[in-house]
Amino acid sequence: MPSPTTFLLWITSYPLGGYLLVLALNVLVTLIEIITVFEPEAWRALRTWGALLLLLGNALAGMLVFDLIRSVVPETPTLPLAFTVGVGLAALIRTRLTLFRPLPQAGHSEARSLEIPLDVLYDRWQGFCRRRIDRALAVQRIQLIRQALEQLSEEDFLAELRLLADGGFIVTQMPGGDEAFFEKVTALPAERRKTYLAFTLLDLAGAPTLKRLMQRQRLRSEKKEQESKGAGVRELEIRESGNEEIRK
Amino acid sequence: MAEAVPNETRDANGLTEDQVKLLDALWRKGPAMPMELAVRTLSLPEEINRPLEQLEQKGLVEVESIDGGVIAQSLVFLSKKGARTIESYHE
Repeated sequence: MPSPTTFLLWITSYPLGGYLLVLALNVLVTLIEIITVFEPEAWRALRTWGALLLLLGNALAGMLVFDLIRSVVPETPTLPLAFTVGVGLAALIRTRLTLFRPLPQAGHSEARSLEIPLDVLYDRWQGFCRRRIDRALAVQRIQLIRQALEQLSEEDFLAELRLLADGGFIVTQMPGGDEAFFEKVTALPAERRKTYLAFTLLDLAGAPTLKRLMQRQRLRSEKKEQESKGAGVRELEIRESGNEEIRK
Repeated sequence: MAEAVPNETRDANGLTEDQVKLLDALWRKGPAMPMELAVRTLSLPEEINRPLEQLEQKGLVEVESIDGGVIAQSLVFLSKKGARTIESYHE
C-alpha cells in the first residue's frame, strides 16, 4: 500500500492533480470553519445555501490563486504550493495580497484609492455567505417554534423549564434565581407568554429538547387515539354480544 | 411639562447597561430575533425595543427583515463596529 506522501506526489504529478488537492483541502478547511463557527447548529448550517456558496467560493478562489502563482512562478513545486494554498488560502489573502494597484504618480497620493484589496473582497464574501447561513438558521428556528406552539401547551413548556431548572441543567442567572425568572414570565400577556417560553426553552435547552417534547406529545396523542379506538371496539363487541343474547 | 427621561447611566463608550447586555448576547451566541435577544438578556420583549433602536442608530447592530410571520419579522446582527466595541469590554 502506498504511503500518503507517495499518493500525494502521484496525484500532483498529473496536470490537474494540484488543483484537485487544493480543492479537497479548501473544502476541508471551509467545512471545519463552518462547523466551529456554527457549533451548536453545525449540521443544519452545513445544509444551507450559504454554506454551499462558501464552499464553492473558497474552492474556486483557492484554485484561482494556485493557478495564478503557478503561471507567475512556474518552477514552484506543485505539492508544497497546493498545500500552502489549500490550507492557508484565508491567511494568504489576508496578507493584503492586492489584485490591482496603479503605479503611484508623483503628487497624486489618491492613486491608492483605485486598488482592489483582496482581503476586503474576501471578508465581504465571507460576510455575505455567513449572513445567508444565519438567516437560513433563523428561519429554521422559526419553523421549529411554530411547530412547538401548535403541538405543545404553555404548561408543557413551563413543566420542562421547571424540570431543567430544578435539575440544575439551566441557569437563568437572574439576580433572584430561577424563581424570579418564572415570576417575570408569568407577568407577560398570555398570548406572548407561550411564545416567550418556547423561545426560552429553545435557547436554554436547544432544539433537541423541543423536538423530544413534540415527539412525546405525538406519542401521547397516538396512544389516546388508540385507546379511544380500542374502547369503541370493546363497546361494539359488548353491544353485539348483548344483541346475540337477546336473539337467543 | 418636560417628558420624564429614564435614569440611564452610560459608560465610557456611551452605552447603557441594557445596550451592553444586548451587544454581549449577540457577540456570544450570534445573530438573533428580538424575542431571542429578550430571552438571552432575561428581559421582556418590550424592554429591549428602545435599547435596540439606539444601538442601530449608533451603527453597532444591523437589523434585517425576515419572513417569520407573527413570530419574528427581523433578525439582528452585530456590526463590525459593534463587535469591536463589545470585544473591548472583554479585553
